[in-house]
Amino acid sequence: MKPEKYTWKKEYTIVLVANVIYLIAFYLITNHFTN
Amino acid sequence: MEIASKLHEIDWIILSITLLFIVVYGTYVTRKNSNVTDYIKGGNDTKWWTIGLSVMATQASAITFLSTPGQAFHSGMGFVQFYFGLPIAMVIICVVFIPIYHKLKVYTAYEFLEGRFDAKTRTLTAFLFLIQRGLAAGITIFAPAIILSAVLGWDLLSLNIIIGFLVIIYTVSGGTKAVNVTQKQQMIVIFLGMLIAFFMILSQLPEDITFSKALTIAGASDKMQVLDFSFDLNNRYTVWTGFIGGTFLMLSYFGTDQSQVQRYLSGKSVRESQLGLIFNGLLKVPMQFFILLVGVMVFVFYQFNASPLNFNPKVKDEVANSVYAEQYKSLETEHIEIENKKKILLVDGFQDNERTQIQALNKRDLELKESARVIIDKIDETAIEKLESNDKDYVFIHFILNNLPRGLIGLLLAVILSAAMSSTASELNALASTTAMDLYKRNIKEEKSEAHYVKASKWFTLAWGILAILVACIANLFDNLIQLVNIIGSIFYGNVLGIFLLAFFIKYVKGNAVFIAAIITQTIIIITWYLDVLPYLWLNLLGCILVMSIAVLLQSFKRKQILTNG
Repeated sequence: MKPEKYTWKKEYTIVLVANVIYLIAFYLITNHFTN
Repeated sequence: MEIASKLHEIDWIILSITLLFIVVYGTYVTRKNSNVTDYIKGGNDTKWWTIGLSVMATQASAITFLSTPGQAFHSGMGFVQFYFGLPIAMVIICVVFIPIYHKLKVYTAYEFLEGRFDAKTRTLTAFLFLIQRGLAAGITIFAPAIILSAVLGWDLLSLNIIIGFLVIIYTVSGGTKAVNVTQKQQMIVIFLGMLIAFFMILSQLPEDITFSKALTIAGASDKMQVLDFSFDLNNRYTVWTGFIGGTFLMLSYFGTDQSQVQRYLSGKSVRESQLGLIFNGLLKVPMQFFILLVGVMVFVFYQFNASPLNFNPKVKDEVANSVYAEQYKSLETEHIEIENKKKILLVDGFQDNERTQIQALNKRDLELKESARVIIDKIDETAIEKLESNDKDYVFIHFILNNLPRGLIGLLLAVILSAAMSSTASELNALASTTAMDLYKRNIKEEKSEAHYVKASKWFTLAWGILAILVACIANLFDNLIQLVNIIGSIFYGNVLGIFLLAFFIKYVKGNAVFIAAIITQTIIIITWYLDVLPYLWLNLLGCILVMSIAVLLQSFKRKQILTNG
């Protein structure tokens, strides 16, 4: 089997960035509502 | 049973129509399956949104909707961290796994292993999958059935048979296409039901308790701590376990488990399959967050309304007939006193200076609940039937049955049963495909027609369906069958993922080395589990590392031998 060439698509960046944004939102929620 | 009478005719009508519509529609629109590609890969014409919804529906079992709100009710929002690795796993699968699976036009994930290694490695991994998923399919039916039978007084055996039978009808008839079509509708029912439930809870809070105040009340009771950055190994849900353990686990599940692989193999193209998983990577974390938020709102609701000390409905009768009745009664009395004190404090909304008092009351209430659990566990030791002291599975269903209006109860029960059916359908579909393609077709010598393999796949689906129902029906006889199934999963999952990682990333390793490594690893893992050296969840990681290391060592040794012998 020939070695595969892996291609990066912009959708992958979008999904990772979106999840980083969720993480920031969770951080703000935690800070705001927890003592 | 008292609660059963709360199901009104309109609930029965909504519940029955929703479920029957899905079954009849799924069977009707997919009745013409002439070849194996249609039956096993859904004709390879599935669009990305169907794949995305199907992948989500497969993972979200009934327990997700019964247990997750209860988890948030008791422990807050931290469980969402468990899913942090999922988007990373989705991207890895999109970049590495999907292009190869599509290029090789495989029917199952294990078929790829034959091309990369050899037939025996394919058969071994397929066999490991069948053992693990075959048992799990029974538990997917049993787990919600035991809870619904406890709270609604329905007969457990009948419920197991009904759920299993409904799934068998459309899965046998329409194969993968039927699973995809029905999962789309089931997800619509699930999203709709959960959204309505969420707004109904908010509408039932006292008038001056806004959503923002409700969150503040939850925050004062430590329910809003979403992120935990601590390195405490005893804490199961932290940011680190989510990212490291989560990525590893989700990669195993979505990349190598045929019940998920089959969903995206049905894609019209590589791009449709990739977009389906990206859809899952975008929506999964917010969806889990939302389900947990529903649980937190249920917690806030019960700050203003009476709640039982333990939500398991079987506890009350068992405790009343035990020597601990008086002791339990005094715990209940103090629990009611605490609830009343909290109501007085919160009646005018939540003031900042009340935070300490609320926290002290909640702390005491938790202690009471813990004492109640100790009593329940003691009763369980001598009880004929298992008495579950951990009541997280019963919190949300208790809320639904006691506080939602007629009709909506039927819809929420349809949500739970739809979730059970959608996961089971994927499992039966994958079990049948693996049996048909990796064991049956691979090992019979003569050429058979397409129609023959479609027929065989249908028979295998039926057989696995009956076996799942049987496992569900006997599950109650074993003390900890759900845990046993999780243990079996952990025993096999790591080994299988290791084999796939070797196949994708370490080209230097060949079939014989992998096969021997897999057998050695499986033996070591079973011995490790038997000796109880490690918590079973770690067996996943150990299995993966072992099979990869042993295979690389064996291959290097073989290479050296060849070089030495000239």
